[in-house]
Amino acid sequence: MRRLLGLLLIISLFAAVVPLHRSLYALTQTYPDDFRSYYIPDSAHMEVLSLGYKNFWADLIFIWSLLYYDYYNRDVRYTYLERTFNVITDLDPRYREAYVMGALFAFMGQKWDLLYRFEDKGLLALPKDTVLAYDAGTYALFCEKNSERAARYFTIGMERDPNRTLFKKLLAYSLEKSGDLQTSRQFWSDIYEENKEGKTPEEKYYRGVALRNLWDIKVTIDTEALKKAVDGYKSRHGRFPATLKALELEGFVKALPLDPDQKPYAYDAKDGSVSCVSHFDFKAAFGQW
Amino acid sequence: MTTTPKGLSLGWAQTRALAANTFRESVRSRVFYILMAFAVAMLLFSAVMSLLTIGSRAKIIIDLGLTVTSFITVMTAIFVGIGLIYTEVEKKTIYNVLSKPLGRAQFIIGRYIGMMAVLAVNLFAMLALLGLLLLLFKGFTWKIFAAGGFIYLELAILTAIALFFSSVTSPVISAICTMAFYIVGHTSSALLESLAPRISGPLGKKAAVWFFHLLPDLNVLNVTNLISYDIPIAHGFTARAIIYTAAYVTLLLTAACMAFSRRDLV
Repeated sequence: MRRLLGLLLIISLFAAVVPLHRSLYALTQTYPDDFRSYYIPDSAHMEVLSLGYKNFWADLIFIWSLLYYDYYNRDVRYTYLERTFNVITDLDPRYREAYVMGALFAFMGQKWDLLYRFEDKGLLALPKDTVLAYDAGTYALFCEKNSERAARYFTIGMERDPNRTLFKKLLAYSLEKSGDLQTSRQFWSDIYEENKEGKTPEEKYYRGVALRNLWDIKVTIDTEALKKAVDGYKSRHGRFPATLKALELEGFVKALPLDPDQKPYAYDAKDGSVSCVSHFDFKAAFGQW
Repeated sequence: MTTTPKGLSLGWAQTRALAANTFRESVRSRVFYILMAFAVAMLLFSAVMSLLTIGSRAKIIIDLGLTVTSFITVMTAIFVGIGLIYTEVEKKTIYNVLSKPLGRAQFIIGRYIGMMAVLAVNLFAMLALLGLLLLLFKGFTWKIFAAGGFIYLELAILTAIALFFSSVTSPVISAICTMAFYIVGHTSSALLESLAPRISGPLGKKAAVWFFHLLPDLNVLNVTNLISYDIPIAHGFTARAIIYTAAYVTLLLTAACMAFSRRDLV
């Protein structure tokens, strides 16, 4: 009888614990986010607390942070982001995924400085790694639209893996976007030369991309030079030249450039605009896909 | 001339019998099975944890698996080791043992060898399970067994510490003291790095460094962090680690034998 009563007491206490905890937990949800955040000791203390099993603790904090930072609507989530991922990467400096994910979470909050701090720390800790250079460069180029910064990261990637055309291509593209057309043209020319005899789909792709960008750069350089000359002519004569030939005759350009298809550029004397009438032949450049 | 080899042979036979008895006793211990069950659960949990990560799953299983293996075997060494001498004294069974032609030092060494055999089986079983998990996740490396070898060296020191305390004091005090050595042994290098710059005066600094070298440094035997990145163990490290462990174990067992031989068992 006593045993049965004891058993009943245990079962009823277990049954009571669930609603009790539910009501307690519901109350904690009413606190401001700051009070529901977390605390993590700094790296030096964590190193001591880890008892030497630094990778183990880095893994645990990393997996936990993936679950925590995956929750979007929490304003306070960035308060400890830097510290959390710094602790992980201080415990395990070779943890590439931690740098990548730290940067991703920083990107989700548009915290650009923090994002690049994670990437830079990873690039220093992993001197042969190219993934972080690619990661940082693509954030800079396609998300932040900062082509100068992107060029810096792609340069690191290219220095670390000189045989990989991907970095050269991205660097050439970044330089083109940042306005350094001459250097960009040099890189695209190199890519074209390296792949002009290529038979693999990858080589054909790089050859086609190089041709396409060399075309664009030549058109941009030529039309900008002609436009400048047209503007110079207008400031001297008070009107646009009737034809582009006038620019050559009056010494504004040494010789009139031809477009990549060896045709003259189109010119509209009404507004002084210069344009390329030829079209890039994708099929010839890339072949049949 | 003939008595020494014969005496030695007799001594070894008795020590071996005592070691075998310790082995049987320990594997029947409830603590041993509870810790083994916990170890299996934790190793399987490491496989589940690896599913939550991004990137290499094998890294997570190796890191978690080796840490769990090390921690559980250390707990076994401490919680089974602390009762090795004290239980015999408490239950008065030691009188039966010591009434045989067996020295107290032989008793300590027999107990130690038996305990190390238990830990070897325990460690191998856990590494085999970890190996199976890694095979399943296509991340198997023989290096986990190399890490296991270093864990075994750590266990050798900790068991000797536990046995020393078990021969002079009660199990609770032994557990606390051995755990303290475990924690100090794993934190001394990190503590020295962070504390040394704060110590004023060259004498204090030198004393801290000497104290650091004097204490058993268990973290120096911990190579688990290297294994997951396939970093080679430094040339000459293994031999030095074995000699370091042997020196410490000899020191502790000698101290345990001396303390136990002076102990009044009545």
